Amino acid sequence: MKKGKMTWKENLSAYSFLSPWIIGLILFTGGPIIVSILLSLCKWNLLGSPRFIGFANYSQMFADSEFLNSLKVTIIFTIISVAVSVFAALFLAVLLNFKVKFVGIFQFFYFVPAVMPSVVMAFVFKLMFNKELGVVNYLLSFIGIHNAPNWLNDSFWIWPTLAYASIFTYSTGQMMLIFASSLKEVPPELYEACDLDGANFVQRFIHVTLPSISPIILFNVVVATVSSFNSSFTLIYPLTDGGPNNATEVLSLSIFKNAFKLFDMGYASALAVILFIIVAVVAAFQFRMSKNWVHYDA
Amino acid sequence: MKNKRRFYSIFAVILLLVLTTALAGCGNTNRSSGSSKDGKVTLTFSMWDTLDPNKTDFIQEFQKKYPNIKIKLINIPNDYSQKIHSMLIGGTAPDVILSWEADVNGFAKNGAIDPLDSYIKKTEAFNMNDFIPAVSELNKSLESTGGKVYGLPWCYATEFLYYNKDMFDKAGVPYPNENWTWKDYEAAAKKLTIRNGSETTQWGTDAISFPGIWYSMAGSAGDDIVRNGKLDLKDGLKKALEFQNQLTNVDKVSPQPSSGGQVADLFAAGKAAMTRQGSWYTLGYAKNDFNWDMAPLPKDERQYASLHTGFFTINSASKHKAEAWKFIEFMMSKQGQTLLSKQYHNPSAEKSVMAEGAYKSTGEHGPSNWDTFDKTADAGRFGYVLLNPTVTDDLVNDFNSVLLGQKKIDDVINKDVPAAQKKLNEDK
Repeated sequence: MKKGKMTWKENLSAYSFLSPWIIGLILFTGGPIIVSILLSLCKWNLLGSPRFIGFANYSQMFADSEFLNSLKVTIIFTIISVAVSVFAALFLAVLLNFKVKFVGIFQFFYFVPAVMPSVVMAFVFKLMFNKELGVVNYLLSFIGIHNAPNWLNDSFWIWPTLAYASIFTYSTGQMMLIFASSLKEVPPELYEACDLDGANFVQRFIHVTLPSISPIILFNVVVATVSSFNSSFTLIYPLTDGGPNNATEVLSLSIFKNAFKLFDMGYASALAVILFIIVAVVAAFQFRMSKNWVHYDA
Repeated sequence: MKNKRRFYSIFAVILLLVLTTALAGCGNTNRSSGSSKDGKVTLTFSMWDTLDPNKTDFIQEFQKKYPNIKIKLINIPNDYSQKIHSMLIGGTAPDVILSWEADVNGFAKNGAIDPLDSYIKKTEAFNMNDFIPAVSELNKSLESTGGKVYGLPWCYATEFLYYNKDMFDKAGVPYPNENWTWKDYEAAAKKLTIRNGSETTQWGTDAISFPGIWYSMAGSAGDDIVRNGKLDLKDGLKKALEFQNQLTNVDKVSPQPSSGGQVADLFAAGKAAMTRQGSWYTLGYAKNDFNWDMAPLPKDERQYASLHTGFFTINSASKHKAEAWKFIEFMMSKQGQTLLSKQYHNPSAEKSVMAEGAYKSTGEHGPSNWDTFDKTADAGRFGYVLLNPTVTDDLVNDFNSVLLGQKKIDDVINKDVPAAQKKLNEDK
């Protein structure tokens, strides 16, 4: 009898402690998501009241070549951005793992770009990569390249430029720190065993280091993918605003333009629902695939 | 003891919950509509510039004239149109809204702003016949809103051809004038382009960085840009695209559109002999360290320049409409318009005030052709500015794609313009 009473009170206190976060989630995340889904079935231009139109937004979306272009561009951008940022973060973290003097200074400088607001960085990049007045083309002219490309306006060269810009975002810096700390947790006995067997640095890296930190790699890849879908906006909007001839019109940018520039809330909500589904599917897929290559140590 | 502690911990959590919910309600209720306290009225006024009310002459002078009205300035430097839309839904929009040309129709249709005809009939501060032709035409053409006037222009701006006199002198080319055609423009640009091997050290003319110039070119070549509320871009646009492509990729006297074009001004940097820009650049170019001047845009079939302005409008949900009108009346009077001219160096849309020239700002090296404003004002039209700016800006991206070799001119005319029209239709 007494045991039953205590369990009831324990449950109550557990729920009470959870409730602030749950209420916050419902109010600020769950509620807007549900309203968004409802809005995607309506037409609303912010000044009148929403008008129910069923699935018309969705049928318009799939018939629109701009939307299909957005999908293609989003996929390309996500693959490039995730690959580049994870690789760059891992590379920098490995560099930081070497026992050199003043490694703290290196860590500071490697992390500084991540704390710079991305809009500021985007504007600086715009000036640096300007074809006529930019620093990059100026430096290239010293090594004899006088017909340097129009970096941000050329539909091919925009991709290397974007890949380069995504190294300096906050998510790369965050991943670098996580990698740096996880590299320190690789059991040193494994490294000693490698030295005994006469493995060189590359073999040691591929066969010992990578498998040991594979759970962290999975975590970072999933985080990078999700954040790339959502925060591609903060990088691309100031930098290219959809890019040369819609070459960088990612889905998040399309949502922003339709919602707040064309004032078509219903269509933008439909796009957002599609983005939500895509991100959920991709993340689930990554987790399924992770069983093949992630090693969880006991 | 254990029971007491558990009880107190649960109580603390529930108290915390109640407090957070209660305090969440008292958030930032930034009620932007004016208030009145013991006879004093606070009027809210929004504009897209960042001003200090204590240092802004027109606010100080107005408050001196009407001591019982205080102006509260709402500065919205970014995403102005979007923020005003959000404020209108939330019921927190200011009493007097300086509206974009593209928004006035939408606001009027949705009842967000009041018609001003009844106030205008009674006022003596200004005369409706004193406005430049484009404004009178606009007032007449507001058919969709029953022919009523919903906004009064605070000033106006247009587009000019700016040129570097030193470079012209060096190359021995006569200065531009109001009779210049596109052919004269091209010929001069060819003489003013200096190449050093494969590098161009001086461009004849800068690339187009302001969207209005594209539409002014199409207008000059015969298109009406906007007719009966619909896009009218056909042969004129085709001619404009061909001409600009000629300048950029054939004659190579104009650079390709590049990133950061709005801030990387080749003319100001002394790397281009001419540029076509907004008339408000007279203020910034006053700092140029070379001799320069301005002329009307070169014409093709006719003289055409786009006009830009903002409209004083009264929020229909305002509680101080009489005071709001007093402010607008003051701003449209000679005193208010002169103060605005001195502040922004944009001429007034009222011909009598513009003639007095308070908007002029001459720097060390120019300009002197201030009559360019008068010449352009007569030919100026409110063309593309009446349409949603996102649609018109996106179209300009398509125009630039032609120059970058990514698109064909026919694709733009046959696909992109109708697609833009579709987007505008959905905007209803």
